Amino acid sequence: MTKHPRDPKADLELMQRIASGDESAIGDLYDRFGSLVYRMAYQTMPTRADAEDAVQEIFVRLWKTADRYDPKRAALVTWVMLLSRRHLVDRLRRSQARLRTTALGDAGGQTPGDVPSEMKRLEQDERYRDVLELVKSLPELQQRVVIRAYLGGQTLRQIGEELDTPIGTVKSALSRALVRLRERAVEEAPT
Amino acid sequence: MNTMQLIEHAVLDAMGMLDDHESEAFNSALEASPASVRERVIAEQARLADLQGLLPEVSPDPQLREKVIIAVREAVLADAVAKAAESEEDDQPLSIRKSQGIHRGWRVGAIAGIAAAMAFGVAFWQSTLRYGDLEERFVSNLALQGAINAYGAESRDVLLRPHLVDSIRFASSQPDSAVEITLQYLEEKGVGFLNCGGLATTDTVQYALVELDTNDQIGRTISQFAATSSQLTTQRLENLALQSGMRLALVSVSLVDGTRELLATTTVSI
Repeated sequence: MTKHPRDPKADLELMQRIASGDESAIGDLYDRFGSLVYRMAYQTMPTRADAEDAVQEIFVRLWKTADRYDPKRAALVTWVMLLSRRHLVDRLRRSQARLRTTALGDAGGQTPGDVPSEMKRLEQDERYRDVLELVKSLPELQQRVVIRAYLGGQTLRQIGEELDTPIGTVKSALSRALVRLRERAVEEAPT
Repeated sequence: MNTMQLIEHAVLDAMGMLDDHESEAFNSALEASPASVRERVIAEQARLADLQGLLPEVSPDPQLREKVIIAVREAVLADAVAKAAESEEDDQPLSIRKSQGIHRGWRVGAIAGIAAAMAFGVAFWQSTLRYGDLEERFVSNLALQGAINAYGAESRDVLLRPHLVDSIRFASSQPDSAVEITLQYLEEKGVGFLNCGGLATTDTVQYALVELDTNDQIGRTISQFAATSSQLTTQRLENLALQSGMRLALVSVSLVDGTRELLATTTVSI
């Protein structure tokens, strides 16, 4: 896995170059984060072509918002990941390419057995295999919420409506799920 | 929001799960929180945003890098053109250079400017693609749009993908001639842009791009046209198939008696 050690000075210099319009800086930014952004897009988007389109859009967004980068607030890698994830979720929602919407809709709160069957189907896609292994370890509500929100691009409100659950509960469930997923991912990451 | 709610929202924000309104509300609440809470939330968000361990181990296509760079270039252009268009709508001097009072007439000149860059083989974007410069120069963005409108979408390739373009310069056949000719050739599309500076604009003379035979005699005519401006005349050439070694010339054609006079020549090298 590519590591992105924090070097605040270099981060700031790179973003300052981008903000000032230095064309070569976008190449440098890509060299540093292109693989990371692509992996995020590949995991989220329905096809490789969609992932590539999303990567291009994300770098355009990075270029346009470079002047908003605040090194005191986050390391550059964190900022890139935040912006990328927001864009990917937006894109997923915009394009209505919710991950197998029909299947998710069918599973939406019908029977407790639906989530495992949806997982089984998703497991056939290598992009989701590692994530789903971790998702399986979550309580059922968290599984449902994560699949819909993180992989399906649904809004919190939509999830609440589909699952007939208050939005506050959905938020808490998703937040806890993400914390757990992160912890498990760290535990299982090769050292 | 209390600290736990802030952290909860920070996690959701990190995952892109908050809509714009929610994200704004979260950030406002965060800004309003005590510094110690803010630091904790930000640290937590940074920690949780890093979910690289969950990402698949795949590599992007090597060509994606170039696509990204081109996408950024195009976005910069689109933005700048939009800004210029806004100024046009307002019928005001370009806002980006308000203090210098650039007027419509000057913008028209910009079209000639960008076309001149094309004409003389200036790798415009290679040397000047700096966002600040774009605004400084006003510029060229409106002109670029003008070039695209006037000469077709391929003119964008000339500007944005210079590596796809062969730039062929002509040498003047007459001493002290003011004529400057460059042909920009997009081989894969069979399209060329013949850019001519210094041509006289009269009703009795036209110009022709011709192929020269092995004895340097004027052969078939590739395109004949009237000069629209002595500063710069650009002619789009369709179905152009050039090969290395071909000899080309620009000739003037008298509409009175049909005589043709050699103005500039070149040997194609692509």
